[in-house]
Amino acid sequence: MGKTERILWMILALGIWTLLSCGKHGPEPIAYGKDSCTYCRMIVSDRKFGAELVTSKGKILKFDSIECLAGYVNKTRDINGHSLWVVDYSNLSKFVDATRASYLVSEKIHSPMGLNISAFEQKDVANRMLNNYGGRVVSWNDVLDYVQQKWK
Amino acid sequence: MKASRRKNSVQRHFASELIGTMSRLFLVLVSLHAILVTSTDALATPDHSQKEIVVGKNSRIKSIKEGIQLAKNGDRLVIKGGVYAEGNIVIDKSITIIGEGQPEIDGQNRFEVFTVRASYVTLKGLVIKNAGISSIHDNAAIRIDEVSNCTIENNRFVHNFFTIYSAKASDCLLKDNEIIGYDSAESSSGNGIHLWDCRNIVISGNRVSGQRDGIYLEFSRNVVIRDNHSEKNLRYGLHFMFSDSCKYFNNQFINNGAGVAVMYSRFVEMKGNRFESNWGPASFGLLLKDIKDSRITENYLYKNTVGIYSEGSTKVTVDKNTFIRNGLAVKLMASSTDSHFTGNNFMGNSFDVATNSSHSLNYFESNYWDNYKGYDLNKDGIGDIPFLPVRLYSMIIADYPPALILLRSFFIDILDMAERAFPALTPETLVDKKPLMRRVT
Repeated sequence: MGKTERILWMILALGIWTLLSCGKHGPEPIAYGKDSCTYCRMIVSDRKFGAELVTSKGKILKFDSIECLAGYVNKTRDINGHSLWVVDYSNLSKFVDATRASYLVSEKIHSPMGLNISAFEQKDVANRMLNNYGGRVVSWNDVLDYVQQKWK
Repeated sequence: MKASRRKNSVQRHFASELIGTMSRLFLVLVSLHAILVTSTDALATPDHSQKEIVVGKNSRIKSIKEGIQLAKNGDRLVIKGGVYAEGNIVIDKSITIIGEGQPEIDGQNRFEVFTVRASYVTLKGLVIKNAGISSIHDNAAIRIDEVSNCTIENNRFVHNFFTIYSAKASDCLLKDNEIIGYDSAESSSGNGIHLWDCRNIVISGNRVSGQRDGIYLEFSRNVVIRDNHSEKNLRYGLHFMFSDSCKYFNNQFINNGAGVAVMYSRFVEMKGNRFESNWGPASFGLLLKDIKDSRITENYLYKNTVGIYSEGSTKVTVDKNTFIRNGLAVKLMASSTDSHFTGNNFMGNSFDVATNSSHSLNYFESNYWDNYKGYDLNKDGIGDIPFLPVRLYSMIIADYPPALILLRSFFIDILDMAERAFPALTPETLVDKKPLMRRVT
Protein backbone atom coordinates (compact mmCIF):
# COMPACT_ATOMS: atom_id res chain seq x y z
CA MET A 1 0.00 0.00 0.00
CA GLY A 2 1.31 3.43 -0.89
CA LYS A 3 1.80 6.12 1.71
CA THR A 4 -1.21 8.24 0.67
CA GLU A 5 -3.47 5.17 0.55
CA ARG A 6 -2.52 4.22 4.12
CA ILE A 7 -3.27 7.74 5.34
CA LEU A 8 -6.64 7.70 3.60
CA TRP A 9 -7.55 4.38 5.22
CA MET A 10 -6.55 5.70 8.63
CA ILE A 11 -8.71 8.77 8.18
CA LEU A 12 -11.61 6.56 7.10
CA ALA A 13 -11.15 4.31 10.11
CA LEU A 14 -11.00 7.33 12.43
CA GLY A 15 -14.13 8.72 10.79
CA ILE A 16 -16.06 5.50 11.26
CA TRP A 17 -14.90 5.22 14.85
CA THR A 18 -16.11 8.75 15.73
CA LEU A 19 -19.41 8.15 13.97
CA LEU A 20 -19.92 4.96 15.93
CA SER A 21 -19.86 6.91 19.18
CA CYS A 22 -22.85 8.93 18.00
CA GLY A 23 -26.24 7.29 17.81
CA LYS A 24 -28.66 5.95 20.38
CA HIS A 25 -27.46 6.52 23.89
CA GLY A 26 -28.53 4.37 26.78
CA PRO A 27 -28.44 4.77 30.53
CA GLU A 28 -25.24 4.26 32.44
CA PRO A 29 -25.01 2.67 35.88
CA ILE A 30 -25.63 4.96 38.82
CA ALA A 31 -22.78 5.29 41.30
CA TYR A 32 -24.83 4.82 44.47
CA GLY A 33 -23.44 6.82 47.35
CA LYS A 34 -21.69 9.25 45.00
CA ASP A 35 -24.07 10.64 42.39
CA SER A 36 -26.57 13.24 43.49
CA CYS A 37 -30.12 13.65 42.26
CA THR A 38 -30.58 16.40 39.68
CA TYR A 39 -33.98 17.33 41.09
CA CYS A 40 -33.65 17.27 44.87
CA ARG A 41 -29.85 17.21 45.27
CA MET A 42 -29.81 14.26 47.65
CA ILE A 43 -27.22 11.58 47.19
CA VAL A 44 -28.67 8.61 45.34
CA SER A 45 -28.34 5.75 47.76
CA ASP A 46 -31.29 3.37 47.42
CA ARG A 47 -30.70 0.93 44.58
CA LYS A 48 -34.36 0.03 44.34
CA PHE A 49 -35.52 3.46 43.17
CA GLY A 50 -32.82 4.87 40.87
CA ALA A 51 -33.89 6.69 37.71
CA GLU A 52 -32.17 8.40 34.78
CA LEU A 53 -32.89 10.78 31.97
CA VAL A 54 -30.67 10.57 28.89
CA THR A 55 -30.92 13.65 26.70
CA SER A 56 -30.92 13.57 22.93
CA LYS A 57 -27.29 14.70 23.07
CA GLY A 58 -26.25 11.88 25.37
CA LYS A 59 -26.04 13.87 28.62
CA ILE A 60 -27.13 11.79 31.58
CA LEU A 61 -29.14 13.15 34.49
CA LYS A 62 -29.57 10.93 37.53
CA PHE A 63 -32.38 10.83 40.07
CA ASP A 64 -32.69 9.20 43.45
CA SER A 65 -36.36 8.28 43.03
CA ILE A 66 -39.06 7.85 40.41
CA GLU A 67 -40.97 10.82 41.80
CA CYS A 68 -37.92 13.06 41.31
CA LEU A 69 -37.66 11.98 37.67
CA ALA A 70 -41.39 12.66 37.25
CA GLY A 71 -41.04 16.01 39.00
CA TYR A 72 -38.22 16.98 36.66
CA VAL A 73 -40.19 15.90 33.59
CA ASN A 74 -43.22 17.87 34.78
CA LYS A 75 -41.10 20.96 35.33
CA THR A 76 -39.18 20.72 32.06
CA ARG A 77 -42.13 19.69 29.91
CA ASP A 78 -40.19 19.38 26.67
CA ILE A 79 -38.48 16.03 26.66
CA ASN A 80 -38.35 15.38 22.94
CA GLY A 81 -35.61 12.99 21.99
CA HIS A 82 -34.80 12.24 25.61
CA SER A 83 -35.18 8.75 27.03
CA LEU A 84 -36.39 8.03 30.55
CA TRP A 85 -35.19 5.06 32.55
CA VAL A 86 -36.17 3.56 35.88
CA VAL A 87 -34.76 0.69 37.93
CA ASP A 88 -36.95 -2.41 38.04
CA TYR A 89 -37.70 -2.99 41.74
CA SER A 90 -37.82 -6.75 41.17
CA ASN A 91 -34.58 -6.85 39.19
CA LEU A 92 -32.18 -4.21 40.41
CA SER A 93 -29.56 -4.71 37.72
CA LYS A 94 -31.89 -3.56 34.97
CA PHE A 95 -32.93 -0.19 33.65
CA VAL A 96 -36.37 -0.19 32.09
CA ASP A 97 -37.99 2.32 29.74
CA ALA A 98 -39.97 4.48 32.13
CA THR A 99 -42.80 5.16 29.70
CA ARG A 100 -43.50 1.44 29.35
CA ALA A 101 -43.08 0.28 32.93
CA SER A 102 -45.81 -0.42 35.45
CA TYR A 103 -45.75 1.38 38.78
CA LEU A 104 -46.93 0.38 42.23
CA VAL A 105 -47.95 3.15 44.59
CA SER A 106 -48.11 1.60 48.05
CA GLU A 107 -47.78 2.88 51.59
CA LYS A 108 -45.87 -0.26 52.52
CA ILE A 109 -42.99 0.47 50.14
CA HIS A 110 -41.24 3.69 51.14
CA SER A 111 -39.43 5.52 48.36
CA PRO A 112 -36.77 8.17 49.05
CA MET A 113 -38.97 11.23 48.53
CA GLY A 114 -42.04 9.93 50.28
CA LEU A 115 -44.41 9.26 47.37
CA ASN A 116 -43.93 5.49 47.65
CA ILE A 117 -43.62 4.71 43.94
CA SER A 118 -41.77 1.64 42.70
CA ALA A 119 -41.28 0.48 39.08
CA PHE A 120 -41.69 -2.91 37.42
CA GLU A 121 -40.96 -4.01 33.89
CA GLN A 122 -43.60 -6.76 33.97
CA LYS A 123 -47.12 -5.77 34.87
CA ASP A 124 -47.91 -9.16 36.42
CA VAL A 125 -44.98 -8.79 38.80
CA ALA A 126 -46.43 -5.43 39.80
CA ASN A 127 -49.81 -7.06 40.35
CA ARG A 128 -48.25 -9.74 42.54
CA MET A 129 -46.64 -7.04 44.64
CA LEU A 130 -50.04 -5.33 44.78
CA ASN A 131 -51.52 -8.48 46.31
CA ASN A 132 -48.83 -8.59 48.96
CA TYR A 133 -48.53 -4.92 49.82
CA GLY A 134 -51.72 -3.20 48.74
CA GLY A 135 -51.97 0.17 47.02
CA ARG A 136 -52.54 0.52 43.30
CA VAL A 137 -50.79 -0.22 39.99
CA VAL A 138 -50.58 2.68 37.54
CA SER A 139 -48.92 3.74 34.29
CA TRP A 140 -46.20 6.34 33.68
CA ASN A 141 -48.70 9.04 32.75
CA ASP A 142 -50.59 8.39 35.98
CA VAL A 143 -47.30 8.79 37.86
CA LEU A 144 -46.70 12.15 36.17
CA ASP A 145 -50.19 13.33 37.15
CA TYR A 146 -49.85 12.03 40.69
CA VAL A 147 -46.51 13.75 41.26
CA GLN A 148 -47.80 16.94 39.65
CA GLN A 149 -50.73 16.95 42.00
CA LYS A 150 -48.73 16.09 45.11
CA TRP A 151 -45.93 18.57 44.48
CA LYS A 152 -47.87 21.55 43.24
CA MET B 1 -114.42 23.31 108.01
CA LYS B 2 -114.80 19.91 106.69
CA ALA B 3 -113.36 20.96 103.34
CA SER B 4 -110.21 22.41 104.85
CA ARG B 5 -109.69 19.33 107.03
CA ARG B 6 -110.01 17.14 103.96
CA LYS B 7 -107.56 19.37 102.18
CA ASN B 8 -105.13 19.05 105.07
CA SER B 9 -105.40 15.31 105.15
CA VAL B 10 -104.90 15.16 101.40
CA GLN B 11 -101.84 17.31 101.74
CA ARG B 12 -100.44 15.15 104.52
CA HIS B 13 -101.13 12.03 102.53
CA PHE B 14 -99.39 13.51 99.54
CA ALA B 15 -96.46 14.59 101.65
CA SER B 16 -95.97 11.16 103.17
CA GLU B 17 -96.21 9.54 99.76
CA LEU B 18 -93.54 11.94 98.53
CA ILE B 19 -91.28 11.17 101.46
CA GLY B 20 -91.79 7.47 100.85
CA THR B 21 -90.81 7.59 97.22
CA MET B 22 -87.93 9.94 97.92
CA SER B 23 -86.47 7.62 100.50
CA ARG B 24 -86.94 4.63 98.25
CA LEU B 25 -85.22 6.54 95.47
CA PHE B 26 -82.45 7.46 97.86
CA LEU B 27 -81.92 3.85 98.84
CA VAL B 28 -81.81 2.82 95.19
CA LEU B 29 -79.27 5.49 94.40
CA VAL B 30 -77.05 4.59 97.33
CA SER B 31 -77.00 0.92 96.43
CA LEU B 32 -76.38 1.73 92.79
CA HIS B 33 -73.44 3.91 93.77
CA ALA B 34 -72.09 1.15 95.99
CA ILE B 35 -72.27 -1.34 93.15
CA LEU B 36 -70.59 1.01 90.70
CA VAL B 37 -67.77 1.88 93.08
CA THR B 38 -66.90 -1.68 93.83
CA SER B 39 -67.07 -2.78 90.20
CA THR B 40 -64.92 0.07 88.85
CA ASP B 41 -62.42 -0.64 91.57
CA ALA B 42 -61.87 -3.97 89.92
CA LEU B 43 -61.36 -2.29 86.51
CA ALA B 44 -59.14 0.53 87.79
CA THR B 45 -55.68 0.83 86.22
CA PRO B 46 -53.31 -0.72 88.66
CA ASP B 47 -51.82 1.86 90.92
CA HIS B 48 -52.67 -0.55 93.52
CA SER B 49 -50.13 -3.26 92.86
CA GLN B 50 -47.16 -2.19 90.74
CA LYS B 51 -45.32 -5.45 90.40
CA GLU B 52 -41.66 -5.79 89.66
CA ILE B 53 -40.72 -8.75 87.50
CA VAL B 54 -37.09 -9.76 87.28
CA VAL B 55 -35.76 -11.45 84.16
CA GLY B 56 -32.32 -13.04 84.24
CA LYS B 57 -30.28 -16.15 83.84
CA ASN B 58 -30.48 -16.74 87.60
CA SER B 59 -34.15 -15.87 87.92
CA ARG B 60 -37.20 -17.96 87.56
CA ILE B 61 -38.08 -16.02 84.42
CA LYS B 62 -35.31 -16.42 81.87
CA SER B 63 -36.66 -14.72 78.77
CA ILE B 64 -37.80 -11.18 78.13
CA LYS B 65 -40.80 -12.38 76.15
CA GLU B 66 -41.96 -14.42 79.12
CA GLY B 67 -41.43 -11.47 81.43
CA ILE B 68 -43.59 -9.28 79.23
CA GLN B 69 -46.26 -11.94 79.01
CA LEU B 70 -46.53 -12.08 82.79
CA ALA B 71 -46.54 -8.30 83.22
CA LYS B 72 -49.56 -6.07 83.50
CA ASN B 73 -49.99 -2.38 82.75
CA GLY B 74 -47.95 -0.28 85.17
CA ASP B 75 -45.50 -3.04 86.07
CA ARG B 76 -41.74 -2.80 86.06
CA LEU B 77 -39.61 -5.34 84.25
CA VAL B 78 -35.98 -5.54 85.37
CA ILE B 79 -33.60 -7.32 83.03
CA LYS B 80 -30.39 -8.48 84.65
CA GLY B 81 -27.00 -8.53 82.92
CA GLY B 82 -26.40 -11.26 80.35
CA VAL B 83 -27.00 -11.96 76.70
CA TYR B 84 -30.55 -12.51 75.46
CA ALA B 85 -30.80 -13.83 71.92
CA GLU B 86 -34.40 -12.83 71.36
CA GLY B 87 -35.99 -11.07 68.40
CA ASN B 88 -39.40 -9.65 67.53
CA ILE B 89 -40.12 -8.85 71.19
CA VAL B 90 -43.49 -7.11 71.10
CA ILE B 91 -44.28 -4.81 74.02
CA ASP B 92 -48.05 -4.56 74.10
CA LYS B 93 -48.47 -3.35 77.69
CA SER B 94 -47.70 -0.04 79.36
CA ILE B 95 -44.62 -1.16 81.27
CA THR B 96 -41.21 0.13 82.23
CA ILE B 97 -38.25 -2.01 81.21
CA ILE B 98 -34.99 -1.31 83.03
CA GLY B 99 -31.66 -3.01 82.39
CA GLU B 100 -29.44 -3.67 85.41
CA GLY B 101 -25.89 -4.64 84.58
CA GLN B 102 -25.94 -3.81 80.86
CA PRO B 103 -28.01 -6.72 79.56
CA GLU B 104 -27.43 -7.36 75.86
CA ILE B 105 -30.39 -8.12 73.64
CA ASP B 106 -29.21 -9.60 70.36
CA GLY B 107 -31.30 -9.54 67.16
CA GLN B 108 -28.83 -12.02 65.61
CA ASN B 109 -28.79 -10.06 62.32
CA ARG B 110 -32.18 -11.51 61.50
CA PHE B 111 -34.87 -9.75 63.50
CA GLU B 112 -36.28 -6.50 64.66
CA VAL B 113 -35.56 -6.51 68.37
CA PHE B 114 -38.25 -4.53 70.25
CA THR B 115 -41.57 -3.46 68.76
CA VAL B 116 -43.49 -1.11 71.04
CA ARG B 117 -47.21 -1.36 70.47
CA ALA B 118 -48.47 0.22 73.70
CA SER B 119 -48.30 3.77 74.99
CA TYR B 120 -46.54 4.77 78.21
CA VAL B 121 -43.65 2.38 77.68
CA THR B 122 -40.14 3.16 78.95
CA LEU B 123 -36.94 1.40 77.95
CA LYS B 124 -33.80 2.24 79.91
CA GLY B 125 -30.31 0.92 80.46
CA LEU B 126 -30.33 -1.74 77.76
CA VAL B 127 -27.71 -2.76 75.20
CA ILE B 128 -29.42 -3.69 71.94
CA LYS B 129 -27.58 -5.02 68.92
CA ASN B 130 -27.75 -6.71 65.54
CA ALA B 131 -31.22 -5.78 64.32
CA GLY B 132 -31.30 -7.56 60.95
CA ILE B 133 -30.56 -5.96 57.60
CA SER B 134 -33.38 -6.48 55.11
CA SER B 135 -34.28 -5.06 51.74
CA ILE B 136 -38.00 -5.14 52.54
CA HIS B 137 -38.40 -4.63 56.29
CA ASP B 138 -36.99 -1.65 58.07
CA ASN B 139 -35.92 -3.76 61.06
CA ALA B 140 -35.03 -1.63 64.07
CA ALA B 141 -33.46 -2.14 67.46
CA ILE B 142 -36.56 -0.40 68.84
CA ARG B 143 -39.62 0.39 66.75
CA ILE B 144 -42.29 2.67 68.22
CA ASP B 145 -45.43 1.85 66.32
CA GLU B 146 -48.39 4.26 66.40
CA VAL B 147 -48.36 4.89 70.14
CA SER B 148 -47.60 7.81 72.44
CA ASN B 149 -45.78 8.85 75.59
CA CYS B 150 -42.85 6.47 75.31
CA THR B 151 -39.36 7.08 76.64
CA ILE B 152 -36.18 5.56 75.27
CA GLU B 153 -33.39 6.69 77.55
CA ASN B 154 -29.78 5.86 78.31
CA ASN B 155 -29.49 2.79 76.13
CA ARG B 156 -26.58 1.63 74.02
CA PHE B 157 -27.20 0.45 70.46
CA VAL B 158 -24.58 -1.36 68.40
CA HIS B 159 -24.67 -2.56 64.79
CA ASN B 160 -28.34 -2.32 64.10
CA PHE B 161 -29.93 -1.79 60.69
CA PHE B 162 -32.26 0.96 61.85
CA THR B 163 -31.77 1.85 65.48
CA ILE B 164 -34.81 3.78 66.75
CA TYR B 165 -37.66 3.82 64.21
CA SER B 166 -40.70 5.82 65.23
CA ALA B 167 -43.76 5.59 63.01
CA LYS B 168 -46.91 7.67 63.62
CA ALA B 169 -45.96 8.23 67.25
CA SER B 170 -46.45 11.27 69.45
CA ASP B 171 -45.23 12.78 72.72
CA CYS B 172 -42.16 10.60 73.03
CA LEU B 173 -38.70 11.25 74.47
CA LEU B 174 -35.49 9.82 73.00
CA LYS B 175 -32.72 10.85 75.36
CA ASP B 176 -29.04 10.21 76.06
CA ASN B 177 -28.70 7.10 73.93
CA GLU B 178 -25.51 5.97 72.28
CA ILE B 179 -25.90 4.66 68.72
CA ILE B 180 -23.16 2.97 66.75
CA GLY B 181 -24.02 1.69 63.27
CA TYR B 182 -22.33 -0.81 60.98
CA ASP B 183 -20.47 1.89 59.09
CA SER B 184 -20.65 -0.17 55.88
CA ALA B 185 -22.18 0.47 52.47
CA GLU B 186 -25.12 2.83 52.36
CA SER B 187 -27.43 0.27 50.86
CA SER B 188 -27.08 -1.97 53.89
CA SER B 189 -27.34 0.73 56.53
CA GLY B 190 -30.47 2.18 58.06
CA ASN B 191 -30.83 5.44 59.92
CA GLY B 192 -29.90 6.04 63.56
CA ILE B 193 -33.06 7.80 64.65
CA HIS B 194 -35.85 7.69 62.09
CA LEU B 195 -39.15 9.54 62.51
CA TRP B 196 -42.02 9.11 60.10
CA ASP B 197 -45.28 10.99 60.55
CA CYS B 198 -44.64 11.81 64.23
CA ARG B 199 -45.69 14.70 66.46
CA ASN B 200 -44.19 16.30 69.56
CA ILE B 201 -41.06 14.24 69.90
CA VAL B 202 -37.98 15.36 71.86
CA ILE B 203 -34.64 13.98 70.71
CA SER B 204 -31.88 15.11 73.04
CA GLY B 205 -28.37 14.25 74.13
CA ASN B 206 -27.91 11.28 71.80
CA ARG B 207 -24.68 10.27 70.07
CA VAL B 208 -25.05 8.71 66.62
CA SER B 209 -22.41 7.43 64.24
CA GLY B 210 -21.93 4.85 61.51
CA GLN B 211 -25.51 4.82 60.28
CA ARG B 212 -26.80 6.01 56.91
CA ASP B 213 -28.43 9.19 58.22
CA GLY B 214 -27.74 10.00 61.86
CA ILE B 215 -31.14 11.58 62.46
CA TYR B 216 -33.90 11.43 59.85
CA LEU B 217 -37.35 13.05 59.89
CA GLU B 218 -40.12 12.70 57.37
CA PHE B 219 -43.63 14.20 57.54
CA SER B 220 -43.24 15.04 61.22
CA ARG B 221 -44.08 18.16 63.17
CA ASN B 222 -43.18 19.93 66.41
CA VAL B 223 -40.06 17.88 66.95
CA VAL B 224 -37.25 19.32 69.11
CA ILE B 225 -33.76 18.05 68.38
CA ARG B 226 -31.14 19.33 70.82
CA ASP B 227 -27.69 18.62 72.17
CA ASN B 228 -27.11 15.62 69.94
CA HIS B 229 -23.79 14.62 68.43
CA SER B 230 -24.02 13.12 64.95
CA GLU B 231 -20.67 12.19 63.48
CA LYS B 232 -19.23 9.98 60.73
CA ASN B 233 -22.50 8.78 59.34
CA LEU B 234 -22.42 7.54 55.78
CA ARG B 235 -24.77 10.09 54.29
CA TYR B 236 -26.33 12.91 56.33
CA GLY B 237 -25.75 13.81 59.97
CA LEU B 238 -29.26 15.26 59.92
CA HIS B 239 -31.79 14.86 57.15
CA PHE B 240 -35.38 16.01 57.19
CA MET B 241 -38.11 16.52 54.64
CA PHE B 242 -41.70 17.74 54.72
CA SER B 243 -41.41 18.41 58.45
CA ASP B 244 -42.68 21.81 59.52
CA SER B 245 -42.21 23.68 62.77
CA CYS B 246 -39.30 21.64 64.06
CA LYS B 247 -36.45 23.08 66.11
CA TYR B 248 -32.77 22.12 66.14
CA PHE B 249 -30.61 23.54 68.95
CA ASN B 250 -26.99 23.07 69.94
CA ASN B 251 -26.29 19.91 67.99
CA GLN B 252 -22.99 18.94 66.41
CA PHE B 253 -22.87 17.51 62.90
CA ILE B 254 -19.31 16.53 62.17
CA ASN B 255 -17.65 14.76 59.27
CA ASN B 256 -20.73 13.12 57.82
CA GLY B 257 -20.50 11.78 54.26
CA ALA B 258 -22.72 14.42 52.76
CA GLY B 259 -23.16 16.87 55.64
CA VAL B 260 -26.68 17.97 56.59
CA ALA B 261 -29.63 18.25 54.20
CA VAL B 262 -32.91 19.88 55.06
CA MET B 263 -35.69 20.03 52.52
CA TYR B 264 -39.25 20.94 51.70
CA SER B 265 -40.11 22.24 55.17
CA ARG B 266 -41.39 25.44 56.72
CA PHE B 267 -40.98 27.26 60.03
CA VAL B 268 -37.67 25.60 60.74
CA GLU B 269 -35.44 26.98 63.46
CA MET B 270 -31.77 26.00 63.61
CA LYS B 271 -29.80 27.65 66.37
CA GLY B 272 -26.41 27.13 67.95
CA ASN B 273 -25.43 24.08 65.92
CA ARG B 274 -21.99 23.16 64.64
CA PHE B 275 -21.54 21.97 61.07
CA GLU B 276 -17.96 20.81 60.67
CA SER B 277 -15.62 18.99 58.33
CA ASN B 278 -18.01 17.95 55.60
CA TRP B 279 -15.82 17.55 52.54
CA GLY B 280 -16.68 16.32 49.08
CA PRO B 281 -18.27 17.35 45.80
CA ALA B 282 -21.77 16.52 47.02
CA SER B 283 -21.16 17.34 50.66
CA PHE B 284 -22.60 20.43 52.30
CA GLY B 285 -22.33 21.87 55.78
CA LEU B 286 -26.02 22.69 55.44
CA LEU B 287 -28.10 22.08 52.33
CA LEU B 288 -31.30 24.13 52.29
CA LYS B 289 -33.65 22.88 49.61
CA ASP B 290 -37.11 24.43 49.33
CA ILE B 291 -37.07 25.72 52.90
CA LYS B 292 -39.48 28.55 53.70
CA ASP B 293 -40.14 30.98 56.54
CA SER B 294 -37.22 29.72 58.58
CA ARG B 295 -34.35 30.96 60.69
CA ILE B 296 -30.74 29.82 60.71
CA THR B 297 -28.98 31.63 63.55
CA GLU B 298 -25.86 31.48 65.74
CA ASN B 299 -24.52 28.38 64.03
CA TYR B 300 -20.88 27.59 63.42
CA LEU B 301 -19.85 26.34 59.97
CA TYR B 302 -16.26 25.28 59.89
CA LYS B 303 -14.13 23.54 57.28
CA ASN B 304 -16.84 22.44 54.88
CA THR B 305 -16.46 22.31 51.11
CA VAL B 306 -19.62 24.41 50.97
CA GLY B 307 -20.96 26.01 54.16
CA ILE B 308 -24.56 26.69 53.23
CA TYR B 309 -26.04 25.70 49.87
CA SER B 310 -29.43 27.25 49.25
CA GLU B 311 -31.72 26.21 46.42
CA GLY B 312 -35.41 27.01 46.02
CA SER B 313 -35.57 28.49 49.53
CA THR B 314 -37.52 31.62 50.34
CA LYS B 315 -37.91 33.92 53.35
CA VAL B 316 -35.02 32.41 55.26
CA THR B 317 -33.19 34.58 57.79
CA VAL B 318 -29.53 33.63 58.13
CA ASP B 319 -28.12 35.72 60.93
CA LYS B 320 -25.30 35.75 63.48
CA ASN B 321 -23.64 32.64 62.08
CA THR B 322 -19.90 32.19 61.77
CA PHE B 323 -18.41 30.77 58.56
CA ILE B 324 -14.75 29.86 59.06
CA ARG B 325 -12.35 28.20 56.64
CA ASN B 326 -14.91 26.78 54.30
CA GLY B 327 -14.14 26.24 50.63
CA LEU B 328 -17.21 28.26 49.74
CA ALA B 329 -19.14 29.84 52.61
CA VAL B 330 -22.50 30.41 50.92
CA LYS B 331 -23.69 29.09 47.58
CA LEU B 332 -26.90 30.79 46.69
CA MET B 333 -28.79 29.51 43.66
CA ALA B 334 -31.06 31.74 41.58
CA SER B 335 -34.08 29.74 42.65
CA SER B 336 -33.76 31.06 46.21
CA THR B 337 -35.35 34.41 46.93
CA ASP B 338 -36.03 36.77 49.79
CA SER B 339 -33.37 35.38 52.10
CA HIS B 340 -31.68 37.77 54.52
CA PHE B 341 -28.07 37.37 55.57
CA THR B 342 -27.18 39.72 58.44
CA GLY B 343 -24.71 39.86 61.29
CA ASN B 344 -22.71 36.86 60.05
CA ASN B 345 -18.92 36.49 60.26
CA PHE B 346 -17.12 35.34 57.13
CA MET B 347 -13.50 34.50 57.94
CA GLY B 348 -10.86 32.51 56.14
CA ASN B 349 -13.17 31.14 53.44
CA SER B 350 -11.67 30.60 49.99
CA PHE B 351 -14.84 32.03 48.51
CA ASP B 352 -17.40 33.93 50.49
CA VAL B 353 -20.45 33.84 48.26
CA ALA B 354 -21.09 32.20 44.91
CA THR B 355 -24.25 32.30 42.88
CA ASN B 356 -25.55 31.25 39.49
CA SER B 357 -27.85 34.21 39.04
CA SER B 358 -27.17 37.53 37.43
CA HIS B 359 -29.91 39.12 39.48
CA SER B 360 -30.10 38.09 43.07
CA LEU B 361 -33.28 38.70 45.02
CA ASN B 362 -31.62 38.02 48.33
CA TYR B 363 -30.20 40.50 50.82
CA PHE B 364 -26.88 40.81 52.54
CA GLU B 365 -26.48 43.49 55.16
CA SER B 366 -24.19 44.25 58.06
CA ASN B 367 -22.02 41.16 57.87
CA TYR B 368 -18.35 40.99 58.73
CA TRP B 369 -16.18 39.93 55.79
CA ASP B 370 -12.48 39.41 56.34
CA ASN B 371 -11.91 39.99 52.63
CA TYR B 372 -13.35 43.47 52.88
CA LYS B 373 -10.70 45.97 52.05
CA GLY B 374 -12.71 49.15 52.49
CA TYR B 375 -12.27 51.98 54.99
CA ASP B 376 -14.33 53.62 57.69
CA LEU B 377 -13.61 57.32 57.84
CA ASN B 378 -16.49 58.32 60.09
CA LYS B 379 -15.61 55.53 62.55
CA ASP B 380 -19.15 54.26 62.93
CA GLY B 381 -18.04 50.65 62.66
CA ILE B 382 -19.62 50.33 59.23
CA GLY B 383 -17.54 50.40 56.04
CA ASP B 384 -18.01 53.45 53.87
CA ILE B 385 -18.12 51.58 50.59
CA PRO B 386 -20.25 48.54 49.83
CA PHE B 387 -18.78 45.04 49.58
CA LEU B 388 -19.52 42.69 46.73
CA PRO B 389 -18.89 39.21 48.10
CA VAL B 390 -19.12 37.35 44.80
CA ARG B 391 -15.77 37.04 43.11
CA LEU B 392 -15.62 36.93 39.35
CA TYR B 393 -13.24 34.04 39.80
CA SER B 394 -15.95 31.93 41.45
CA MET B 395 -18.05 32.24 38.31
CA ILE B 396 -15.09 31.19 36.17
CA ILE B 397 -14.45 28.02 38.13
CA ALA B 398 -18.17 27.20 38.20
CA ASP B 399 -17.97 26.92 34.43
CA TYR B 400 -14.45 25.57 34.23
CA PRO B 401 -13.37 23.80 37.43
CA PRO B 402 -9.77 23.13 36.38
CA ALA B 403 -9.19 26.90 36.64
CA LEU B 404 -9.03 26.31 40.39
CA ILE B 405 -5.33 25.73 39.95
CA LEU B 406 -4.95 29.51 39.70
CA LEU B 407 -6.53 30.07 43.12
CA ARG B 408 -3.56 31.72 44.80
CA SER B 409 -2.01 33.25 41.71
CA PHE B 410 -1.15 36.89 41.19
CA PHE B 411 -3.24 36.92 38.03
CA ILE B 412 -6.39 36.14 39.98
CA ASP B 413 -5.62 38.83 42.55
CA ILE B 414 -5.46 41.36 39.73
CA LEU B 415 -8.70 39.99 38.28
CA ASP B 416 -10.39 40.44 41.67
CA MET B 417 -9.11 43.98 42.01
CA ALA B 418 -10.28 44.91 38.54
CA GLU B 419 -13.71 43.44 39.15
CA ARG B 420 -14.01 45.27 42.46
CA ALA B 421 -13.11 48.54 40.85
CA PHE B 422 -15.43 48.08 37.87
CA PRO B 423 -18.03 45.38 38.59
CA ALA B 424 -19.09 44.18 35.18
CA LEU B 425 -19.90 40.50 35.37
CA THR B 426 -20.72 39.80 39.00
CA PRO B 427 -24.31 40.49 40.05
CA GLU B 428 -24.45 44.03 41.35
CA THR B 429 -27.59 43.33 43.35
CA LEU B 430 -25.69 40.87 45.52
CA VAL B 431 -24.02 43.45 47.70
CA ASP B 432 -23.55 44.24 51.38
CA LYS B 433 -24.05 47.97 51.63
CA LYS B 434 -23.12 48.15 55.30
CA PRO B 435 -20.22 45.77 55.85
CA LEU B 436 -18.99 45.69 59.42
CA MET B 437 -15.44 46.69 60.27
CA ARG B 438 -15.21 44.35 63.22
CA ARG B 439 -16.26 40.78 63.97
CA VAL B 440 -19.67 40.14 65.44
CA THR B 441 -19.26 38.54 68.85
